[in-house]
Amino acid sequence: MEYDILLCDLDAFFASVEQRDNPELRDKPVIVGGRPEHRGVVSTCSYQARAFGVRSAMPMSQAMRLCPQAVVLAGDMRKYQEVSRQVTKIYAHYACALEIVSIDEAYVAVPRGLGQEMGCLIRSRVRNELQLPVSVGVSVNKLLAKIACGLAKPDGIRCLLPGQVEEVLWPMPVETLPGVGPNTAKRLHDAGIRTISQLAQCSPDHLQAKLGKFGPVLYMYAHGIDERPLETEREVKSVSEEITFPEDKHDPAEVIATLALLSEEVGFRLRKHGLWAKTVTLKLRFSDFSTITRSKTLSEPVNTDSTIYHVARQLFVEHKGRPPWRLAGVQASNLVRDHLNQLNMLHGPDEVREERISRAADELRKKYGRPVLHRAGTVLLAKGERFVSGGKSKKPDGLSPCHVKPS
Amino acid sequence: MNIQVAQSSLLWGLNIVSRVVPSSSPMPILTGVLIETWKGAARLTATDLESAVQCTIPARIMQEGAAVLPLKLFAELVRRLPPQDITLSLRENEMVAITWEKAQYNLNGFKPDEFPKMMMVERERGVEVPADTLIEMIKSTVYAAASSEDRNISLTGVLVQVKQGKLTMATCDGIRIACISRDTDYGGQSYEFIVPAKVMQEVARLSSGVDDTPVKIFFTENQVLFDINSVLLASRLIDAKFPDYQQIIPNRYYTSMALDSNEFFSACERAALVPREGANYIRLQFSASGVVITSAASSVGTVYEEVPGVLTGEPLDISFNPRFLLDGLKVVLGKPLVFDGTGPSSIACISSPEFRDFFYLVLPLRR
Repeated sequence: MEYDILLCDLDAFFASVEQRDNPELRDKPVIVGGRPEHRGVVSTCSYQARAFGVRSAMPMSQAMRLCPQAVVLAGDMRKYQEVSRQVTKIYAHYACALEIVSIDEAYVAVPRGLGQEMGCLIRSRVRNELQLPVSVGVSVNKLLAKIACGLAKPDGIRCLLPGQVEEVLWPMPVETLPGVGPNTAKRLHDAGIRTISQLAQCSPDHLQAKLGKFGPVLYMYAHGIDERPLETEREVKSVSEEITFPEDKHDPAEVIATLALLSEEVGFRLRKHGLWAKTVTLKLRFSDFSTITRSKTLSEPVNTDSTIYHVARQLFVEHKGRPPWRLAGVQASNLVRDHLNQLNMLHGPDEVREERISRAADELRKKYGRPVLHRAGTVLLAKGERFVSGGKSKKPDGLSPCHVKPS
Repeated sequence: MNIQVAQSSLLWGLNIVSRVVPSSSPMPILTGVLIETWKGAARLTATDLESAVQCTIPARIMQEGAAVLPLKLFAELVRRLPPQDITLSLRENEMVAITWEKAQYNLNGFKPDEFPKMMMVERERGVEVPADTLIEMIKSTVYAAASSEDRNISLTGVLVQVKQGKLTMATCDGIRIACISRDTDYGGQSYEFIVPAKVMQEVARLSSGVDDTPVKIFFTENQVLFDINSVLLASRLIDAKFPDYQQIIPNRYYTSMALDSNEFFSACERAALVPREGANYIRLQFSASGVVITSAASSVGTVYEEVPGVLTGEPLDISFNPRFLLDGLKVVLGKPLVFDGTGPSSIACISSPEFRDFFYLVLPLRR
């Protein structure tokens, strides 16, 4: 069966939720992100803020210079996740297949020919039931749906059919295509290829020679052809947390305290997904931006905070290099599901207590929506550094971004 | 020292003592074998300080004395010699001349008086066990000892308990306990001691092929000596407290099933092939008609197997790491099997009415 593919993207999601829940913020530039004095970055900004040139991922200090009157909010990840679930429910009602890309973006497959109609239904239901704007791109594959959605924004719907590729897609810069990052773009530019039209006129062989395996794929993209299926069930390949310190750390004890905090976060997410990790990886960035990752693979998979922390700490002690440190990260990978813990008759109160503590901390956290219990060692850190929130990116193998929230 | 020995008996002796010799050691003399004249024969000794092996071979003594040769090299040489008499004579500076026919090798040795003394174990307290019984007891338990890296050193050994009329061996690594008892004619006081598992494996190896000669076991506060048909194996005991395993033995079982051990073992072994990757468990569901064995690994496939059995008591749904289950089943292979359970997350027992005084307790995986 053939499908139409919709890309549904919630407009300025975090900011829209805040504006919805606080009428005073409507029509004002709203920025959700980390505080400038903590080297925070813009997570989302309302369209009113975008008018001043503020963009996602921009350092907050720069955003404040561009738009000093903006209302800056730390954001409430738990609320956004809940709203995202409500939106997904609406999508799922219409979807033959559904791929959740991120907290605010999803591909929806609907029967061929019904794309436009379903897109309008989804938009009106999200608007009526949740009071949120969502843009929808309609086409026959993920690539064109994504391009169409970009054209639909903000708060619109746009259909892009394969017959319109020459007219709509070709004038666009090559960077528009998925997978074309700064490196690929530079190589194409060096070859005099700036627009998708120029790309479409190259031969696939020529592109293969220039870009390797990705060349022919890109050639197909340029012609509006995209064979990627919807990834309906994303397998979690790794769980990771990292933090860029507000100021470079010189004291190893503070980095170790941070590792405890990150391990709690990683442990919580593993347990939430019912996963165990066989490999724990430490990531360290030094003040000169040089970065190392060091891993240890264990004989038995783990998911308690303390076991993850002990491995991360050991890796740090062995590979800490020279201070100061700029960033620390903890990753759990080599994940297994359905792991059953081996009971041990000699496991004393320590192991049992550790599991109980993890469980209790998880419960409290679910109740209050943020970590409530922390390891004593983390008191070394300034109060503002003790709250870490998971980023929205759960891309396989990627270290997800982490924001420092003001307390 | 000047002696003549047959190549075959020398090679036999070197093979026996070579098992305890470290290939390298901060004390180079420990890589050597002590050769000394003793009561009209030649005695070979090797040690790693934790344990020592000694055996005696026939020799013609021309001159009494002792020498220490690097064991590995010496054994390699002897292995390649023609099967005839060889003369070993000590020269200056600990050099030993090895002579046969028209050939002579001179090997540098170590000072014999610097060789660590074989542990002197008083032959006061002891027990005699037929070799085949001893092998059976060791093989039924030694696999369940903890690996030598375990933090709890008491678990890296085999607990030996000598009581009036009874000899018991037990091992425990925290996940399982293997325990076997056999009758003896020992009539003295009760003792218990922990022998390193590695040494016990060596005892089993040395005891195989000595026919019905009983193995004599002597023990003191901190040492044990096995006299296996005149081959002596001495070892330090593990100085630690073995956990009180008796208190872990359940008072009663709620589930009990009689099974054909061969059928059950094969089924479990097959089922264990599938979950090798990732989650590593097999699930056993005991009910009136028998036991259903299932396992699954998303990347490999799924398993379902039924083995008939006779259930007494409650049905039981329990999951194990297959390795720990199979280890215990192997001991009773070929005999009628009884599986006893106390609940889905508590201890289970494997035993056989035809293999008396043996039990294997194993903890499941938490559900």
